[in-house]
Amino acid sequence: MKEKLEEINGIAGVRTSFLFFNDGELVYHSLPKGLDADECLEIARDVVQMGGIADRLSPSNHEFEIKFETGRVYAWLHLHFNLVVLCDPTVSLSMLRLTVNVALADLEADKKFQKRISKIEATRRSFLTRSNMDPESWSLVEIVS
Amino acid sequence: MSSVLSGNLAFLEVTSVVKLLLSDGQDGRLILQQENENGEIYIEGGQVVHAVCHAYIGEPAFRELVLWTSGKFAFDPDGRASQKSIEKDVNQLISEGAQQLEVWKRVRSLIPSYKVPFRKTNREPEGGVKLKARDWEVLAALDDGESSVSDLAGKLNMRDMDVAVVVHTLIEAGVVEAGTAARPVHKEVVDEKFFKTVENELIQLIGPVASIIIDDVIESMGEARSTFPREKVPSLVEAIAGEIYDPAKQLAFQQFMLRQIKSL
Repeated sequence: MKEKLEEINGIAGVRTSFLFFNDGELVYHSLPKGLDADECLEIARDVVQMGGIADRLSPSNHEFEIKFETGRVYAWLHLHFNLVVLCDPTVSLSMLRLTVNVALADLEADKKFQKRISKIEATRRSFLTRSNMDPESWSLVEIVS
Repeated sequence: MSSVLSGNLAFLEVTSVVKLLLSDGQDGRLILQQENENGEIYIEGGQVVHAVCHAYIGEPAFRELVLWTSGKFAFDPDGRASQKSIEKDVNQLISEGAQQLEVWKRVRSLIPSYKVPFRKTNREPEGGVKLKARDWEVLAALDDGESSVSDLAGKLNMRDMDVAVVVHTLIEAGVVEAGTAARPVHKEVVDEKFFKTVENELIQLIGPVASIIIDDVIESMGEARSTFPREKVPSLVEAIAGEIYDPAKQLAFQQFMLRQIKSL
């Protein structure tokens, strides 16, 4: 599993990537300067909540792209797990997509990985609770619902 | 959406698909997709009644869509037009579209992409040239710098296609040439052996149409096999993979190509 993410991290312009299950377990991460595990989990939580909203609209795999002046966040959300990649604005999105597609397909075919995700019961939607969210995000969820 | 007809625009032109649907008395929506762009053509009662493409609606949208020679199409028989934006007789519409496509094919030989910059040659053409008012307008907009077709279209509030036709005329007249930014500057290119490897793999997966698809994608990227930049290989792979409809074969192609890219 680690090797797959190392391949993604090896792409020019990728700062880091981390994979986590819907139950919150951070599977693998390599932290860049200025980002600690708690911040990783903060980003993970936000991505899961966005995914939960997307699941309400259309329960399938999702791909998010967030652009900001100094970087990019790309997220691939599958049924039980989520991959987040933090990049520089100059990253080749085609190369990233190609590498991620292959890495995620390899992961999903991996027996150990399959066994692990078969035990996950948490859904992204289950994180969409009032206690987990700020008032603005919660009102957005209510609108979508 | 239930699609009863779908295919690749590299093998069937938009006007041919529309004619096919009309001859069969079909009503519905023809959905077109080229890279990240989408377009729609609505057919009702044996007429093309509505078309949408980018910000264009009606005839301008239809004229834009008939120029698409790569990408996918799918016909949705349940699709109904929300408005009637085209009144012109369908035969005239198709005939104009076919003529426009012929012009576009000629233009594309000199202007592979709307993003390629051009500039004035500052040479006196031998024997002089006759330019129309619109040609002068585009020539004047070039100033003394370099501009692409898209830049000029924005500046003159014209359609990209119309500006491209004028620039083509100006190139043939010898008063405009490709700008310095359009000329390759020591870019790393992939060799023909690489394309042979890609082609052989793709033939195994989708059959003999592989080489046509590769050439079509390269052309749509405004490139040629002999000068294809290495940095664009991932985009090429992504575009070719998009033409493989079987997900397992698509993944197999991506896995193979990822290995090839690493060995470049």
